[in-house]
Amino acid sequence: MSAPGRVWRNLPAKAKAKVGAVLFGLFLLAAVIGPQVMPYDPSYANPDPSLLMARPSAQHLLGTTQTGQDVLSQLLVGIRLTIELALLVGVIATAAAVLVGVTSAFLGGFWDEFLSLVSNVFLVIPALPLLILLLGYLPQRGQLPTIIVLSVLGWPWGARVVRAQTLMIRNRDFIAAARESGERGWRIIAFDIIPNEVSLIAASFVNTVLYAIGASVALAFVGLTDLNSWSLGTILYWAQGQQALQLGAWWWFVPPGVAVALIGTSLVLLNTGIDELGSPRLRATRGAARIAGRRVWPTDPTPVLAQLTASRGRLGGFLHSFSRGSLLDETTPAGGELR
Amino acid sequence: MSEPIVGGLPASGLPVTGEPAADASAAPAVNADAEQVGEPAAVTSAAAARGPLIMEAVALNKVFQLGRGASLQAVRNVSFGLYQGAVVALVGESGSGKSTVAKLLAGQERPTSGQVMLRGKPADVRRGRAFRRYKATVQYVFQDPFSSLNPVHTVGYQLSRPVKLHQAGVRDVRAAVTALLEQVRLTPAGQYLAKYPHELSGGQRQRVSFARALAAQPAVLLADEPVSMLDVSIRLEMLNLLDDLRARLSLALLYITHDIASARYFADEVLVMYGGQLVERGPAEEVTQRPAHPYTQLLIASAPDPDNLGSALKGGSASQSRASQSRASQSRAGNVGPAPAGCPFSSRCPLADDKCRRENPALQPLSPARAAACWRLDAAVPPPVASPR
Amino acid sequence: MSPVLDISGLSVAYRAPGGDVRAVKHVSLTLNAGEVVGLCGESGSGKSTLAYGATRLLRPPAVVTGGSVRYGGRRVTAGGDPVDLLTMSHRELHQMRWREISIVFQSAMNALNPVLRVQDQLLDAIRAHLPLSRGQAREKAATLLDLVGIPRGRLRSYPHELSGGMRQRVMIAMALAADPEVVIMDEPTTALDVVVQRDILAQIVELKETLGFAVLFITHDLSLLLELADRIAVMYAGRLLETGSAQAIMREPAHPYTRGLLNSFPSLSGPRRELAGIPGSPPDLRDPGPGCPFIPRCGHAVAACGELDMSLAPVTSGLPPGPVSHLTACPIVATQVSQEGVLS
Repeated sequence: MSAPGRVWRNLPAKAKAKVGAVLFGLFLLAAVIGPQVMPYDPSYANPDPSLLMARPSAQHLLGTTQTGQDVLSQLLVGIRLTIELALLVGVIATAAAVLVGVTSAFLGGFWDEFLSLVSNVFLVIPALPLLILLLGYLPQRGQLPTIIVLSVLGWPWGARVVRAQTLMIRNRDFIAAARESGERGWRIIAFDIIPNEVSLIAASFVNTVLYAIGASVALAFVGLTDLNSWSLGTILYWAQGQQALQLGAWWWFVPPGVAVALIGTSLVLLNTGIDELGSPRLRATRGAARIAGRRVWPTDPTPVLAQLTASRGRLGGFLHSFSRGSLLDETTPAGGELR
Repeated sequence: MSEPIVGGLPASGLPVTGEPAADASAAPAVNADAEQVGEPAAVTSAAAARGPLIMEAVALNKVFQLGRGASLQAVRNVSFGLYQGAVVALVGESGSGKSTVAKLLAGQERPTSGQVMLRGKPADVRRGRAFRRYKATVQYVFQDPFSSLNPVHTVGYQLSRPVKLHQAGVRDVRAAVTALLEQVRLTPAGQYLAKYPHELSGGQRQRVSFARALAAQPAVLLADEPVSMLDVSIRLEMLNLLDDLRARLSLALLYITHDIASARYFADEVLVMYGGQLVERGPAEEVTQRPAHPYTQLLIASAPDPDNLGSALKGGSASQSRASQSRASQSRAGNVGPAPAGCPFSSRCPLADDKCRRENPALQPLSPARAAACWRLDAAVPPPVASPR
Repeated sequence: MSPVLDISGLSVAYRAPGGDVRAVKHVSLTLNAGEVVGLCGESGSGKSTLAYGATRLLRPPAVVTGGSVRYGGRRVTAGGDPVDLLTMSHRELHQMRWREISIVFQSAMNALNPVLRVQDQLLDAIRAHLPLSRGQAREKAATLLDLVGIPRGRLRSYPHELSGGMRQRVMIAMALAADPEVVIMDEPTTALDVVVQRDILAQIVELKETLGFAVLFITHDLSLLLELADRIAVMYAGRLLETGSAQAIMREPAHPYTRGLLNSFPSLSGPRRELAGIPGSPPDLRDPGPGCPFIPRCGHAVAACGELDMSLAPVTSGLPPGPVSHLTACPIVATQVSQEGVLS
């Protein structure tokens, strides 16, 4: 495995999740206060010719567009709009996915067949072309239609995953025991099954948000959303339309592009952390452990303390003996023998 | 000195056949056409001495459809009663249908034919309110303490639910839950309320399962292998607890197990199941001391008995190698044919003759309290039981 | 004759953020060629940790913190000194595995790969350790199934098509693939019915007589060991409490825990008597308390028990001394035994 690969594998889940959370938190902060603190109205086109497609300066920290609009302001509004849309789609689609997935697995029989059929059909439809078609035909182009369309196409994957998990849980004894106690069906679903799926639902939510960001940026880039609102994709649309790349106006398309990439990355990191936190088994088999200061892989034979410390040398052993939980203070045994 | 136990059957008196050929499938598929010949003998249950009849299984049959036209008769013509304050043990190997019987009695499955009677009236276990009312009288305890408790809820919450559902109008739920924990000897009860299942040992979890069943204040407790998954050293304590609960709460207890020794220790009446049928029934002491059916004899001979430890497992003897040869030849034949049309045990039984393979016997009476389903009862000489050292 | 496996003062711990869990504490055990040694203990007693730690199969965060595990099989030592598994490299251990020491794992249901046929799994084991061609390996797999009494036709079956007893036999066949000297059996019959269990045990004895390997049989069911084993070691909370021949343990249990265990089995042929079992539950290994770990559950405990160093001492008894020494960690019961003579 390559060095970066090894490093990635070994980072503990908590670190990944923390980095992801902090990064996403920053963007969330930007989304909330950004539009309040932005220096200019993003749509304001400054007619001053020296400020057309101008490089970043003290006045315009990220430069200006072809029509003299401030890129930084657009970026801040864009972050808010994009995150807003993505979170809304995440909530709606995940709620739908959980509802459909748990119900179909719990009820079984006809309902399971029917709901599975519905989710499979939606899964199979190629999403982007359908999105383009729908949005192309809808009279409005604003945020709302985009949210609706993305939610409608974004729930089936989560539904399938939740259904699979629910099928497994449904066969566990404690569900039958809840029935034995006389619990009603809906209470079993709400209080016995779903609490066991929290980390799955959280991961599914994050996944959906990620998908929504990607899809909305793609749609905006293609010009299918409201071009009067400044989402990140719209900025890129205009930048592309005005030949920003060819003209070398990197300050116009790099910031929104990087923002999209970073938001996506932060979500992926968050998700990895959730996966491993939710499944202790993943944690245990993850990678090497450190024992007595040395790295031990799961496929190595059980380490023997004497061997580990012997190869460290005296100074290392001396220093290590101060670490907490040191096993070096094992006293001579007085054990018996089976002869 | 006891008979050397060779290959699972006593070396004398019965031909040594050793390894049963029917080792291929865990559930001996019973031929659905193998109807029992004759009516099962009416027997006075040894448990009836303890108290009135509370629950009765009447000619229960359960056939599972396996898809592609195949079906599995898991339970055939099983009838018995549960009496207040008495323990009835249902003994059999995996695949014998004993768990299915319990599920039929619990209302988790519906019989294909036959009836479950509760206090003289047919049990009404349709969904909804009727089912919940049934649950207030008949409770089922699960086998696996590691999966019968919800891992995300505390013990206190999981016990409070059945209390609220069944003890309507109880003011202090916490006090009721504490009382339940004390009943199952989880004390001091207060410290268990906030614990999660993974913080408890197997034995403690199983006690919580008992407490949950008792919250409904049932009259009948169906315990499906309640101690099989616990360590040997705590099994006895749990059985003693069950016995104590039975006595104090006047429960009718159905104890399902594959361990016939614990059935002898604990039960009033023992019912032995094989291949979905009852093959023997009678008072616990008599069935275990003088087993009449060849399968019961096999069970008794195979069980490790601390008072009667045969030395046959250690040290090769001539009879040992003879047994192993015949065992090997038996198993080489494998078991890939359709189930026998007659007695389900006939493919493994050393006494089986043509009648056994053709006709499936119903329970034949042996005494007012005993019966066994076998055509060869006269020839099935029980192995001499050694006196303790 | 020197023992084929000599575990001496072995200690194994699991590193955990809250402090180390000492799962095995200074346990010594020997296995002579061709004998069956039973290791008895509840869940959490450390019996599996002992076996897997000795063969270095435990994954991190487990560490072997002390002791030695000397293997004296003739193929490896060539008549010389035994080799210590704890000092071997990964490569040397790989040579040892399966050819010298093999393991029949608990719960064959889970140990067999559900998506591979029996033949493929046997071939895996065979070709990993023996230099055979595919054809030779296939023939060997068939021979192994013959050995354990499974029809050859079953080679093409998947594990779920076999019964529990047959799956366990496949595991045994796999363990014998490279003709080892020592076979460690970890609760091989736990999930099986009594009838199948007895057949498997008889099969094991027969194979042992034929092929001549030694068996370390791990279980929580003492009654099995009393029938099957030559010598028995009783473990509790990571320590050995009592060791001796099966006869001695059965007739003169010299530790309150062993007595409690023997008193936990309802008898089939003896009189129907009231049994007490052992109250309480095993201690938390993170904080077992000083002295003997059995104190909270012991009816004979006195203040001095809290200061025991848990070394094993011979039992003075009314029985004539046999070739196998009978040792116990409980000084109180040892004296009782000598006073009371043979117990029933």
